[in-house]
Amino acid sequence: MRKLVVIAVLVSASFFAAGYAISGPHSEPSSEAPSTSPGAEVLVADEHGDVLRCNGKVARVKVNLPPPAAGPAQATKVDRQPKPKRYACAKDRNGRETGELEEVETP
Amino acid sequence: MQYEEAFALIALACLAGYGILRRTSCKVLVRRCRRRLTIVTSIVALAGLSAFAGQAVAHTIGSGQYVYRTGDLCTRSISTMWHDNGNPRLAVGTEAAQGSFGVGGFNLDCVNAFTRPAGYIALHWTLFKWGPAQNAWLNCSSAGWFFNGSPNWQISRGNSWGSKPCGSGYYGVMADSFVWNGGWYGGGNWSGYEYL
Repeated sequence: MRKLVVIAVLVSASFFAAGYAISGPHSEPSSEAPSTSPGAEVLVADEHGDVLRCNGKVARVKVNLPPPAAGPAQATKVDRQPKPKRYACAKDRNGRETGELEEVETP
Repeated sequence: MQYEEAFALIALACLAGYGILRRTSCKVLVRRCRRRLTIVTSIVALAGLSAFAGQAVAHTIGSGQYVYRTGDLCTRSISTMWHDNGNPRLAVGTEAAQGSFGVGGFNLDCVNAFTRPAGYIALHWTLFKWGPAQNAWLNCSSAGWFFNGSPNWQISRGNSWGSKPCGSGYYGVMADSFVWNGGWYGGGNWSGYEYL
């Protein structure tokens, strides 16, 4: 019976190790949260999670800004169903990056 | 601690406990059971399944707090995130409140829901992903501003993804909640983060 318990512990431990390994290398964020300061600049991720660069320049956007609408009258005219978007590098007619950012809708 | 780690540790503790106690009453109980192998195997299988299933268990993180608070107006922001088979899902909200209530020297504020006309309550979310190489939070996805279309004291939005929109890593949601009172009053509210 003791052998059985030892085997059970070993098997369980191996499952534990495998589960941990599958979950990948967890390098914990060193920053608890993004800045909540109004107008703070943050980097932009591409679809692979790498930092987005447009024309070799690291893309940045401002966050925590109040609504762009000047007041409730304007607010009622905006899109009632805003869709998720992500940032991408804007391109000109020839397909070359302009260095600007554009928002593209995601499914 | 992740779910799978907790489950595995509990399973190990149970097995260790069984090993210690097996000379006493547990031994008697187990002896009566002719399928000892089945029991132990079941425990092991459960521990193993838990370790793997932990990847798919919906682990909700979130925060609800006042991002603006005065006697005239309180703006409360809700920011939550969980996952479905490892893909992020979020729910965010903005609530308007006002008023105070005093009892025996104690004063509570933001006690009443504050119904506001159309366009007075605003909500916006941003999904962030941790960039280990940059040592910074990266803007992964966001939606445009959403406003109440009719008189209300709260609004909410949600979104889900069929895959990880910016690959595997730590994700979190920032909800931006504002209420109009001659100007926009509010701020950002962070959900916390989890590995997806």
